[in-house]
Amino acid sequence: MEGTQRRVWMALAMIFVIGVSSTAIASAASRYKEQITAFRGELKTQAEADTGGLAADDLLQVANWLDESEKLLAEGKTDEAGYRLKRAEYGLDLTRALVAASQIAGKADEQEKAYAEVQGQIGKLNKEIEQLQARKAELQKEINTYR
Amino acid sequence: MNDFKHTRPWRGAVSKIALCALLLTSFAACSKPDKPKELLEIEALWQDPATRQVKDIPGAKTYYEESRKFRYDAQDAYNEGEVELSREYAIYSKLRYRTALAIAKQFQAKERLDAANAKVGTLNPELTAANQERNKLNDEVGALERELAVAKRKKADEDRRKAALAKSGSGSSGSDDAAKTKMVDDKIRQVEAARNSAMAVNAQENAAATYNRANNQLNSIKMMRASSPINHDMIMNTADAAIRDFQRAAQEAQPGYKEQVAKQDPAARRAALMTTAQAIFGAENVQQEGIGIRIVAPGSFPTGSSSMTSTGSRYLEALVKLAKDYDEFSITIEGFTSRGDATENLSLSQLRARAAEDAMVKAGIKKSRIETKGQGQERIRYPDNRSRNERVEVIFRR
Repeated sequence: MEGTQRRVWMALAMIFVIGVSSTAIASAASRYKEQITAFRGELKTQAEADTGGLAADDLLQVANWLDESEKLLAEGKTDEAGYRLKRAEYGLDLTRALVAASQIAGKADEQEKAYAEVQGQIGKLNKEIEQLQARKAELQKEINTYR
Repeated sequence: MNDFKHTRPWRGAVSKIALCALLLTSFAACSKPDKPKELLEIEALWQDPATRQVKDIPGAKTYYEESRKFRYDAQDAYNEGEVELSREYAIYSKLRYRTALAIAKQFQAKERLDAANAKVGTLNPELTAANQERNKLNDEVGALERELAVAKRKKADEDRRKAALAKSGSGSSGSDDAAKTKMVDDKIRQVEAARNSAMAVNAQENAAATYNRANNQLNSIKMMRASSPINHDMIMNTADAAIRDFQRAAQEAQPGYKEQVAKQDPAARRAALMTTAQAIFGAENVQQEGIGIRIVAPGSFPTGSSSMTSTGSRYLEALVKLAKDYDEFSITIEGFTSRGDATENLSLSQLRARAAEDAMVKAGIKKSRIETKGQGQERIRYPDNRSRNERVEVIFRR
């Protein structure tokens, strides 16, 4: 009687363990799906921001990892899908940093160009000032002849 | 013993084979698979001393540390024979390292941007100063150019004057000028005559805009006449325009002037007012009193009240029109009541007079023209009709 009871408990425990683990797998899969959707949105945003195309290759790689991850999930390979998603996450961090670096570099280029332009403007103005000073002296001299 | 000797070499060979097999097995067990290329790559990267410099860049350190940790994880996984996991960690390590590198690039670009901003900042005041200096010089040169033009013109005028003087000794130009000046003076007199004609019809009030324009022209002519040399042609042209404008002003002023003239005859004006008032209020309600015209507005109020009846309001509208048309007349409003308590009625009659005054002022009649009186029940005009006595009477005087 005691042996039978133990076997029943064992069976119940196993059912519980199997139930818990299958629920955990199912929740991981749904979490990964949500992540895939979120990462795709982020990917789109970054692709739009990457006007210089500096991160184009990496963005493509991230897109591939997301596709692979989706496929693995469909095949029930949740762990492998998780690894691909991790790659995609780190890949997006990288592309974000690349895009930002490219934007800041672009602004720096613009300001350096503006600096050169202002220098040019000042040079032009100084030339104009010289000419005006000469004209002023000339006019003053001419006016004096009428006084 | 023999058997033993005979079997001994066989047993030795077996032992050797077993030993070899054992060695091979253990060697095979100890040999490792090839390192994944991702791990090799990351190991090569970490051999480079430049890699460590990234960790000193603000913001890149976190990624640098993560990359290092994943590199060790990849190494450990490989050592434990988990090649796939080792590859995965190596990939993470490389991604984190490249992120650290990208942040280092951000930092460098930011430094470059700050430096460029600072340089532009230093140039801006210089640019502003140069702009201001250029504008100032432009203004100065412009002023000098105008001054020079004036000086040149004066010199030319002077030269012409001298030449004319030189000629006047021998030629007839002097007498020509004198003749022209005489014509100018005659023309100015014509303008003044035109102005006098306009003033005669009070054009300065009745046609102010045209009159003022003409008068300004006359003033200009006089100034031009006083300056030397005299620009005869310009004076003659301006004078013609001034004459035309004075004549136009005189025409425009005619209607207003006629009205003013008419107003100047009090008896005629009183007669006109009388006729108009009789047409509106009926002859029985309009009477002449010395220099005044009294207009009666019977039944203008309900008994005991100072709020006008609709008849009263209509009378008042007509009174307002008369007050506007005959604006030189002063106005006296007298309030009346029917019989009752004498004290109360005196007060009520005053209120009625004031109510009529307020309504007229609201309609645009100047308060200063109006005087009010309360007559109470003293002058019963309609003994047989109580309600008609609830009234105001308005006297226009001039």
